[in-house]
Amino acid sequence: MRAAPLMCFRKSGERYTRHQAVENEIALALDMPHTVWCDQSWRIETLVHLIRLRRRDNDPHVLGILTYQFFERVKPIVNRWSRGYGPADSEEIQISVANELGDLLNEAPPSRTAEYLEVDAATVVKQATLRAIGPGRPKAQAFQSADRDEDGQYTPIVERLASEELNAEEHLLAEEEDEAGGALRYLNAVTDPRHREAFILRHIYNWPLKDGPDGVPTLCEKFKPVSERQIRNWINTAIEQMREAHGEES
Amino acid sequence: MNRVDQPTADDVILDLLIDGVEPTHENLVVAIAAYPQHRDALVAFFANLAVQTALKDEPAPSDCSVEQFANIGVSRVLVRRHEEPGQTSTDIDDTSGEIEIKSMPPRLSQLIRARGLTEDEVAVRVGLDAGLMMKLDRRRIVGRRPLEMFRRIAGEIRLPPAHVIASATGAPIPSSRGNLRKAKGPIKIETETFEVAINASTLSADLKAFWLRQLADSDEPAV
Repeated sequence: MRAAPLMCFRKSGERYTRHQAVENEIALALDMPHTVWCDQSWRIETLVHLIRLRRRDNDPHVLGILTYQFFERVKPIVNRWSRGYGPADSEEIQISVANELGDLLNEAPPSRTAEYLEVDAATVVKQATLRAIGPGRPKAQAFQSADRDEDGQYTPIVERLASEELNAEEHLLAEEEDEAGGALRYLNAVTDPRHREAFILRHIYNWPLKDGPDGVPTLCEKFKPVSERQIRNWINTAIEQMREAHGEES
Repeated sequence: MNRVDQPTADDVILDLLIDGVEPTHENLVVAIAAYPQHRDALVAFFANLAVQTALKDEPAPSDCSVEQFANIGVSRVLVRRHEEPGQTSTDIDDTSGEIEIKSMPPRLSQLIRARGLTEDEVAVRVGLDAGLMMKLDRRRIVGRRPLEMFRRIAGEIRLPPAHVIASATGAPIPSSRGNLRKAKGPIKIETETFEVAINASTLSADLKAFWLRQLADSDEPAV
């Protein structure tokens, strides 16, 4: 038995198609009782299809377990695309992504985005995460620092890196990442996500600060109503913190 | 579903991601020129993608755990499914007026007994009473319910909390088929919120206060 073909189309006009391995897994699943689906290890895209199949009947048990497995599998993708925020913002982002993905799994008939979960779930999860970050994070009214601890105290990432909380393996992995990352590795030392974002957009992706050709996005527009001078100060602060991190390291 | 002439911002951004777009300012300007109606969404998307692409790994933030994340997602899926018309587990049989259960999913009581325990034993261990366990078993408690309660029950029966949430979510289950046969019209099964159920329970004042605090901190969406 085979899965029903997908109905949406790519930009190029080609119909969506599942990866052959996913088609094979779905065919395998359809040949076994659904009660044993939860005991298998499926690709994320296969899980999406099986979840949609189980939504149609009145047994929420298998549906709940398959859905749990789906969310377990996509959590690392969410973590990857929501770096650089403090605990409160991170938690808010993750709750928002979990809810949005839950809605996408439920869409009937599925939108292009929802159906693409069966083609390449990681891309849709990445999209949902970037959308959950939104244009105004960290929340300005709640902002003190990106790294408040439970008591609301400020703990810069550079200090956390130097703390004993990191185990040896994590430290080694971090060093490897550093070696690959060049100067950009110091971005994590910038304590305010807004300063870091302003630096990245200005110095890595060449966004104009204020005056660009008509209609071109600028940093002043992005961070409105913050002034041009303030954005310059943010970028200078970011550079200063990255220099300090470099100095501590060397 | 075919492509439409006026793609949504989601469609445009999904296509950009599929094409592996680099979040450069030049690409942003091109995208805005093609889809000026989605300017704000494109600016936010390119900025966020630029930052996330540039950031290297860092120590994991103390955000929500895998378990918490997954439980929120499971709750959302079950709630949405339950909200859809026709997605109830009970139907009225026109000829007999009897409520028939189309398909009985594993109930909380069944999961508990499968572990060789009784509902009363589990209730005492997790800080609930027999009445609350009965209401959970029959899906009579609706609205926000604390994740901590599901965690505790799941711990006792050694299953992921999602199993407990799934079992305790859905259309309410009638108490007695015999009583339903006597009813002349459709039966409305009474439900209540967690807060009402706690206040009506036989728990001590301390335990009631504990659960109401948990409810205030709860992140399980309403059902």
